[in-house]
This record gives sequence, C-alpha cells and structure tokens, in this order.
Amino acid sequence: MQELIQVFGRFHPLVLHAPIGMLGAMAIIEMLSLKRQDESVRRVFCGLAWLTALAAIVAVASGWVLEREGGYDQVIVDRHFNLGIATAVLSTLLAVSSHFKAHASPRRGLLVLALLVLVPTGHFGASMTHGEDFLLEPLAKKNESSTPKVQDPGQPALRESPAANVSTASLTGGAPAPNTGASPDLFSKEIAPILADMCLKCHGTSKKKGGLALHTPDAIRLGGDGGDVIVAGEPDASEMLLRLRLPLDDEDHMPPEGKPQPSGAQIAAIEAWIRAGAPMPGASAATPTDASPVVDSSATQAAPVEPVKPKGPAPASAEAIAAIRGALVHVEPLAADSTLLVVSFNAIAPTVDDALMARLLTPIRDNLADLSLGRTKVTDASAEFLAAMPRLRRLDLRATSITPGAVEKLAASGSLEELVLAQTKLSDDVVATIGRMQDLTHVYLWGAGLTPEGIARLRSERPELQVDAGDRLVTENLGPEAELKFSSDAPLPGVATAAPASLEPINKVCPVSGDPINPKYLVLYDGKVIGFCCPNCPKTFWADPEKCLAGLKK
Amino acid sequence: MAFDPLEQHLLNLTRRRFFGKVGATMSSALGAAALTSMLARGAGAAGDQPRLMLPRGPHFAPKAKRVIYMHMEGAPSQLDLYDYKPGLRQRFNQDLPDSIRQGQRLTGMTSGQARFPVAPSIFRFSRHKNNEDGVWLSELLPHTASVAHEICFIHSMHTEAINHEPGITFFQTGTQQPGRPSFGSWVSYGLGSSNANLPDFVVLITQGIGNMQALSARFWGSGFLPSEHQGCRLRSGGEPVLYLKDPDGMKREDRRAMLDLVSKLNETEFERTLDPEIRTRVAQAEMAYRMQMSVPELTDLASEDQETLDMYGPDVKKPGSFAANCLLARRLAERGVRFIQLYMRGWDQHGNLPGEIRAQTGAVDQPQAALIKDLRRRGLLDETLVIWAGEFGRTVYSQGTLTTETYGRDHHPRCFSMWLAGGGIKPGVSYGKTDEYSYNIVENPVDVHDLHATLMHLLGVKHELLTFRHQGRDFRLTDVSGKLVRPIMV
Repeated sequence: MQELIQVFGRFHPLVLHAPIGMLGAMAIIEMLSLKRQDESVRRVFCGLAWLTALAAIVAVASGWVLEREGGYDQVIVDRHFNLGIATAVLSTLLAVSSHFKAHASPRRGLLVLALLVLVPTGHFGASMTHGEDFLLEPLAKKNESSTPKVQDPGQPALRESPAANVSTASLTGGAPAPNTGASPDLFSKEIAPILADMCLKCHGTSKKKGGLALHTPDAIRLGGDGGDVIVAGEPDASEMLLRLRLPLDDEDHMPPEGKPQPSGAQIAAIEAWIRAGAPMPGASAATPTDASPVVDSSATQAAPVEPVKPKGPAPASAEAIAAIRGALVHVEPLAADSTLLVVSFNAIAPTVDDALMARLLTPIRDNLADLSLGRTKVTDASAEFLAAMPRLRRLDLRATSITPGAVEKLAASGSLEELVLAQTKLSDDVVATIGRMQDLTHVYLWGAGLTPEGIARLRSERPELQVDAGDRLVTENLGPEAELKFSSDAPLPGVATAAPASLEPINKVCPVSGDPINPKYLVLYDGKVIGFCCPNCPKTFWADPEKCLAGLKK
Repeated sequence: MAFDPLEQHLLNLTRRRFFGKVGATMSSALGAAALTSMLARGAGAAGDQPRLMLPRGPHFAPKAKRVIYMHMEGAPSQLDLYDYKPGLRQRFNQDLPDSIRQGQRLTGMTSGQARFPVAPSIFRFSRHKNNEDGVWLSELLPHTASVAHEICFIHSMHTEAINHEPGITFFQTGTQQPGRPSFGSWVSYGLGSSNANLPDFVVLITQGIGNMQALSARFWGSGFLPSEHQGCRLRSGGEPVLYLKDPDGMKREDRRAMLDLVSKLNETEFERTLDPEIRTRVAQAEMAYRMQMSVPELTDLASEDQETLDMYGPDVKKPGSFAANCLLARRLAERGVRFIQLYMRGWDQHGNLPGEIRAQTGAVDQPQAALIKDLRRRGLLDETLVIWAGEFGRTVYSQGTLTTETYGRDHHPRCFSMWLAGGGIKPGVSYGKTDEYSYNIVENPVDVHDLHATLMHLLGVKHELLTFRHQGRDFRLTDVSGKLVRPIMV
C-alpha cells in the first residue's frame, strides 16, 4: 500500500502539466468568445474547467505525497505547495463560476487570477527539480568556461547515503579531532556522506558545475576551474570551506541558496577533516593503481598527507548516552570535536551505587575522560572497574566510603592524572600507593584520614605531585605598610622647601586651631616640621605661613 | 533529536516565521488552507537550517566547568580595597590635577563641586605573599588577603557606563541597553545543564548595609534566548522557591499525574501553534517537580560540619546573608550547577564611605575567603571559576566633605579592580596598572567584553561562535568585541 501511494506521488510531474495546459486552453477559448458567445463553446469550457479542477486537486495530492519522500528545500516546497493549493481552489471556483452564463466577469477574473498564480507555482516547482538558478544561469555564467574535467574511470563513484545523524554526531564523535583518529575512515564515514547528500547533484558524474566533481578522491584532489577546492591541513585556505561559510545569500555560497544546506556539525566535520590533512583513501594522482572505493570503510591505505595517530576511541553509542541521560546523569563531550566524555553523577549522587554506576558506564568506559562520583554510594567494589578505564584522566571520589584497598586497585590505572579523594576514610597506608602512581599530577586529600606526617611523606616522595590536603589554605602576611601619615605638603607650586634638621615637630599645639597636634599631620616649611591637629588646618596655614607661625610664637 | 535540545529548538518554528508564512499566501482564505497543510506536517518539517556552529557543549576542552560570580552591586571602591596608592597620603586634600582628570565626564552628583580634593584611603594596607612579589591589600579584607595566593587581581578594568543600571547591565549582559540575555543565560544556553535536578543558572541575593540601587530581575533574564535559560532566584527567607511545595494533602503521585496530563495538553497546543515557549513551560514544570526533592536537600545544612560553618563566619545560619549565600554557592557548585550568581548590594558609598565600607567588607570578607578555601580543599576550585567584581570603580577625589575620618567617592568607570580565582586562572598574580591617582589605566586595560571573552574561553566556549539569531542577525555576548586576556590564564 505504502509503495502504491509512493508511486501515486511520483505521478506528480506528469499530472501537474494537465492543469497548466487546460488553463491555457481555457484562456484561448475565453478570448475567442469575447466577440461571439456560443453555447457549445461554453459547454466545452465548462467541462474543461471541471477537468482542470480535478487535475489540479490530483496534482496537489500527488505533490503532497511526493514531498513526504523528502530531499527538497523546505522553504521552496512550502511556497510551491501553498500556491498549488491556491491553484486548485481557484480552478474549482472557476469551474463553479463557468455555470453562470449570465455573469462573465467572475469567471474571467478567476481565470486571470488562476493564470497569475500558476506562474510562480510552476516556477517554484521547477526550482526544485532544476535548481533555483536554472532559468537565468546561461546569462549569469556567460563568461565562465564550463569544460568538464575528465573523470578517472578507475574510481567508483560515491554512493548516495543517508544523512549522518547530526544531532548526536558530536557526542558520538561526529567530528573526531585530528589527534584522535583522523584516518581515511574519517573520510568514508563522515565526509563522503555529506558530499553525497549536499554536493554530488551538481558536482558529480551527471553534472560538473564549475568544472568541479566531488565523487571520487581523485576528482576532489583535481579541483575545479578555479583551482583546488581543499588545501590539506589549512581549512582557512580551502575554497570548499570558505564557500560553505559564506552567508547564505552570498552569490558564491555553496550549496546555493534553496538547496539543502549542511548543518553546523557537518561543516565542523569537514573543517576537522581538512585540518587533519584531508586524508582520503585511494590513490593520489601519481599512483592511480591504488584505486579503491571511497565508501568502503575497510580501506587500509595510509593517509596521503599527514601521518595521524590511530589513538582516539570509537564514539560512544547513542543508546548508551541516552540511557545515562535517562537516569538524570550528566554526560557531555569533552570538546565538540572529541569522542571523549565527561560524566557527572552530581544530580542523583546519594542514590548511586556500584551496580547503577557500572550498568550506565560499561558501554562508554573507553570514552570516559572525566568522571565525578562525589557523594555517591560507590564502594571499593568499583575500584577495579574504574582502574580499567583506559582514558580516565580525572576521577572524583570525594565523600565516598572508599578505603585504602580501592586506592590500591586504582593505582593500576595507566591514565589517571587527577584524583579527588577528599573527605574519605583512608589512612597513611595510601601514601606509598599514591607515590607509585607515576602519571598522577594532582591529588586531593583533605579530610581523607591521612596524618600530617603522611602528607609530608607523600610530598617529599613526590615533590612534583600537587597535594591539596587542606593544610595550605592560608597565605603569609608579609607585613603592613608604615603608620599612616596624611599631609598635603608635597611640594606645592611656588613653595620652596629645605631639608628638615629633625623630623620632630617644633610645636605642641596646632598653629591654626590651637588644639594639640596629631603626629599624623605634619607639614614641612622653611626647614622646620610643623604639626597640625587635623588635615584641614595646613590649608589655612599655607594661605599665610608667616602669620600662622607668628601666632605660634606668641 | 532529543539529545540536542538547542538544535531541536531551532528546528521548531518561531511565531514570527509562522505568521510570516501565512501572510505570504495569496489571501486569507487560501491562507487557511495553507495553514492546515503546514500544521499537518508538524514541527519536524521546518526548513530553516540551524545556523548554529557547534552543538550544545564546549567547543574545546574547558578549564572551568562552572562559574560562581559575586557581583558587588553599587561599585566598591578600588582605592580602599585593592588598588594600593601610598603616594596619595601625601596629597591629602590637594586638588586633583587637570592633567589626570583630562576633562572626563562626571556624574551629576559631583560635576557641580567647586573642587575635587584627593581623598587617600584611610585604611592601612599590608603585603601578602602570592606567586609574584606579593600583593598589597587593605586591612578591610584580612580573610581575603589570606587566600591572596589563589587570586588573580585585575587593576585595569574599565567600562563605558557611569551609572549603576547601565553599568550592571553591561557587566551582566555585554551591552548597556536592557534586553539582552545575561551572562549566565548564555552559559546555560551554550553549555546546558550539568545537573538535571536543579536550574542551570541560580541567583542568590544579599541585602547590603548602605545605599542600595535597584536590582532588577532582568539582570539575570534570558533576553531573547528561550526563557528556560533565565536565572532562577533562590529566596533568602521562607521557602527558597515559592509555591514549590505541594499543598497539604496532595501526594507526589497526584502531582505526577497532573503534570502528565498538563504536558499532554501542552503538547497538543504546541503542535497547533509551534510556539517554543510551550516546550519551555513543560520543561520548567518538570524541573519544578524534580526541584521539589532537590531544593530541600540543597538548602538543608545538616550535613555541614561545625568547622565548615565556622569558617564562613557567624552569619552563616542567617538566611540571605553573604555567608549563607557563599555556603549555598559551594553546595550548588558541588552539585554541578553551571552558573551561580551572587549579588551583594549596598556598595554605593557616595558619602560616609569609611563607615559603610567597613560594614560591607565585614559582611563579605570572611565568607568569600571561606568559599575559596572550601572549594580548594574539596578539589572544586580548579574547575570552578570564581569572579568578584562591581560594575565600576570610585573616584579618588572626595564627594562632599573630606576629613581623615570620612569622605565619599563618586562613580568612576575609567579604572577599577576586580578579581578572579580558580578554573584556568593564574593564581596569585596581579594584572594591569593604574596611575598614581588610580584615575587612569597606564598598563594592560581590560574592558568588559574582554573579560566576557576570557571567561567564556575558560568555559570552553569560543565567544565568537556562541550566537543566537534574533531580529534578523546573530547576537553574541561579546557583540563585535572581546579580546582574550591570555596573561591571566594558566
């Protein structure tokens, strides 16, 4: 049944021409009958109108079915569809109005309207099949050469493949970092499907717009009329990426406006691939005998441009991630282009036990880089499981009930760099164990049951290891500044100063107010230090120093 | 789809687009037909490709997983706390030289003053060991000084705003005009939740002692971002979150059944109107349901030992005090909340500054130092970014009467001090210098956009790439600015 409906949908390109032709015919009939009314002609018109309405409705219905197959630009589809409905409605109204022989004007109006609507309807429909720029392309491209490049017959073409699941691509490793396993596999798995979905319609075997084809690695290396499309290792110099990043309405943007556009994650994947040296399986142009299907993930040839470390783990499965999130446990990628994961049990910590933790984490154990189990109920039983995680870099076991036995097992880990053991019930027994963990750079041991001597021993054994034990929280006070003295006798303009014989003030009472002086407020005048009671009196003093001093002597 | 709420959201039609499409059809009658056709196809068929550069989550491996941002509302005086200017003691009551002021605009509060007398700080500074040759800090901050080796002081902050409202708005949203999403909302939007049982962005407010300026909820609003990213304020008195408790006699199962039914109805409405705020509302209701359990657990201090409580000071059990909020901030941080925003009000000391600042620092000094220590020993400081800043600085000249006992200071946007600690920040250093009057920056200026860009970078986010399309263009926290301040990063 489903298939039959699909076939019905595919009749759309056939059926749609019927209403176009018949509306045209009706227009001719209507024009001929402007001069002479004829009943038989009117009847033909009437029949034609109903046929048109029927054909338009069938066209809309089949178009709706066809659209559900997908693959069309949604904006244009929507416009086309809405206008198609308008055409069908207008045709039906036209058919009804054709029965009223006394009233010609509604009929004629509707006919004109239907024809007017038909033009954009057809245009948007054609835009989808031929591309938006199809109509005026010869004018625009008049000056451009379009000699197609010769295709290497030894290279099988890319298969069209379903779009990558973009929304989970990042988590499950949609765009691995250059140092985490960029290889020709990356091209087959990530890049080829994007090219197949987004580019091959115009840059493939059937069409080679701009002289560019992207269906084989060699064709990609060959570039187009404008030169190379990718520069290995330099995303910012690669025409392909530059065009992808242009604003959508830019004339040079690729894919052209109106065509399906790659998602941000897909563009990021292409960028990562180019940065990694754009490794592709198969031969470079120099060694055509090594040709192999690019979509074949078993291709084993080395990357042609840059040797890459085959180190990164395979992406975690989407189901495993979903299960973790379903349990309200936090999981996120370490970075957008990494398959490594950060997991935190913070939200549900008090309810997490060994079994739950193991159940959720077993499927992603190879991807874990950072794990927070603080405040959970995990016990020593999990230590072995945790130690066996090959890429676990930071482990937080704060405020859990682990014992020195667990640390003993964790010491077997070859990857742990940071270990949070604060607020646990350990003892000085772990000093030797931690001392043995050579990759460890930072350990947190506050409230972990170790004695100050134990901590000191660890620090002396491993001087380069950062040991946070909550005993070095306070920094040293290097002492206060001198007693504060406020004055405004820094050389004021026009006042001569001489070096004072003594820093002791010559007076006991303020020359301005007569109050006892405050040793904070001193002024240097004529080689003498004069004291004041407050910082405001020197102002008065400076207005007429001699008069004030005269007052002092009295 | 369900993995990526952000992309999901962008795929959904917005109302604007929805009505735009209806308007584009030939007439209203035909519009109705088209409407039906569009609705029949539902949300998944939306054609706009999301212009999101990268999915939710960090762009690169972050140094910091979360932020505790202590905003000192009202603008604390850099001269009395951090920016040590001993030379000013010899310039007491002198007029501020014109060569320093350079005709700078002043607020209406002091522009009419006959003279601008220099007011040196009356507080004694002392030097504290850090990873450089020590840092001078005021006697007002003995506890903060004791963690100076963890802190990076920036003395060369500057801003464009000269008044509180635009100043705070600039710091909180990256622009002086209201309406943009706050820093915390951008972080929530860009990085998502890391604790499904608590909001991504929590706001805690402490009432200060002195002159308090308005503190509008839009400082933690989400602007044009979906409203689920707005800050959730935990109240200090009574219930932390209003109406969170079930009414007497209502069982948790009843609440569950009600939520299930309501969300089914909401989903129907969403399919009809495609308004993303409906999904937000459903998500919020579910969050509230989970918060019924998680918030009481969060605010219950029974599990804190006496030594920890003492460390935060005598006010720690007083709801809403800075001490209580700092402790709560640590509890939120260890539960993985992304963005914890603390506000301390009352730093707007135009007059009687010495008295008021003594009271204000008395309230914040011990708790903020305790927070640093507590995060440090629990292994949280290295992955938590701690920020302490006001919205601008204060003038070196006195507003109103100057004596050695008291003075006031007006707003000063040209230079001020702030500090950072933890996640990816170089500990125990100072950055930037001001002139001898702490009036102009002489070395390494840092503006608000630079600060935002740097903080985003430490969270693993490229500030240029975290954008949201609104009113026809892509917006970002740093707008068109923002240079990374690399020297303060590890």
